[in-house]
Amino acid sequence: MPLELELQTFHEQKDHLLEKYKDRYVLIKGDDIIADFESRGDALRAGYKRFGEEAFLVKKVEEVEQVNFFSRALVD
Amino acid sequence: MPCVSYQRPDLSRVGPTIAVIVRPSTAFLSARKEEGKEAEEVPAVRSVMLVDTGASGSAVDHEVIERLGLQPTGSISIATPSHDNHEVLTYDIDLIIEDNRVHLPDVPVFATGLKKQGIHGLIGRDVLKHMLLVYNGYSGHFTLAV
Repeated sequence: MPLELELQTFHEQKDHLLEKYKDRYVLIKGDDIIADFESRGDALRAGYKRFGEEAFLVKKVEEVEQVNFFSRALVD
Repeated sequence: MPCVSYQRPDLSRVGPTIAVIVRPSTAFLSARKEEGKEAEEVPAVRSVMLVDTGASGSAVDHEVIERLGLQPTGSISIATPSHDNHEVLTYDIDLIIEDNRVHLPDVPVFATGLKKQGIHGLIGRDVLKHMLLVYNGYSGHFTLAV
């Protein structure tokens, strides 16, 4: 599955990330936390610049991740 | 404020659907431009999307992502009537509303099966927070202003 390692890295290091980068956006590739950014757009631009068309993870560092609700039944 | 009104004879059954062009995100295209790849053709998919006030995020059909050849760049947690909270991958896209050429850059969406419902995507409240939506059920029309 794409981004499996990146998501694992994010979740495993979340406490550390909260201490250092709370409410900022982190750019993760593989098990490396590349950098942190003020905005999602800045993180995306940096990711595309560095990794081109490869998958990478941009994730906001927050204590409780907001859940997106959908009233429509969706098929994965 | 660019504004478009849509008349739909079957608005209550179909819902407020609009024609949009989906293309790779501005962030992606900017990076490509810096690499000198600007001249390459930008893929774009014409889509029908439902303005869905019951969705806090936005989504597109798997086929749209495949046709654009996008890689995931994020993840969100979602909950639906049939599934408790779970994590899904997101892709970032640009949406261009065909009728007024309003351009919404770097919208995060997840991929799901929507084609069988007669639509290619959902425009959720994450996008609607930048718009005014007026839904007139009496006359069967709705208005979007950005």
